[in-house]
Amino acid sequence: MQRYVYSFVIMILAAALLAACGSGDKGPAETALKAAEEAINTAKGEASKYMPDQVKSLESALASTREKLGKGDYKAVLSEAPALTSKAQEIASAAAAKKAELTKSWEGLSSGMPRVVEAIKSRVDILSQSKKLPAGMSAETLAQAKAGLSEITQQWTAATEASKGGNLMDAVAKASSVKVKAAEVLTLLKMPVPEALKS
Amino acid sequence: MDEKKNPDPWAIPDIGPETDEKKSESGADAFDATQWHEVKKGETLWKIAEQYYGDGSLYPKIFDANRDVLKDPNRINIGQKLRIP
Repeated sequence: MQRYVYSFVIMILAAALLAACGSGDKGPAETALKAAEEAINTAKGEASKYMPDQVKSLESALASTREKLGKGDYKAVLSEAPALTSKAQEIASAAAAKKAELTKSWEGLSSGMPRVVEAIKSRVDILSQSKKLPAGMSAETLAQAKAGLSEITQQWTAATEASKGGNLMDAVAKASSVKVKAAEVLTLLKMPVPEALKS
Repeated sequence: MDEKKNPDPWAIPDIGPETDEKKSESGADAFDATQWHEVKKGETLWKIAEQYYGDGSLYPKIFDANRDVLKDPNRINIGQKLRIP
């Protein structure tokens, strides 16, 4: 009988010890989660614009870790939270690099494309005054070029507006579609396609 | 785990290859859409305007675009490179 009592006491003590150890992890787990939350919140500002999918994954992982904290699974929190913190920092760095890249692209496009558009406009204006179109160019071709120029002008205005609004991703995407259309129109007009428009 | 089948949702996207915009930094103007014409024997501005515009009477457009090298629309030289606006 006494043997059973001892075993019971030992089991109770072991359970209490385990509980004490577990609750001892609570504070560090909360601190680690808070650090992860702060890192994610800091990264989110720019990263949401340039890599929204990665931010979404990060937030979903944070929610899962937060849930584990609520359930008292402190060991899991202590293992996952630091990884979230470093992932948030990694994403913030990548977003900054992406922003720099897009800024550079936009600077190149915004200085180069207006000259291309101006060259197209000049040729369309001159051909519109012509009594007879050059060999190999039909009135339909010129009409297509005029429609293309109109589309280019609208898209370029939209790209500029997007850039002014701080949406570089959209600005560069729109400017890239202007590049493609401009190359088509230059070809219709039998004009040389600049290197920057060939890719 | 096959990474191709299960891509990392956090994977940082590749920023991409060097863009054309970057090429412009290396010197040559990658956005230059200027069309040039090298004058050949027997050509006149009228003939050049006919070739590019279909209408010789539009030759003043070419003359105006090349006032830095042309003083007289009736005098162009073989080998001269003219801008075609």
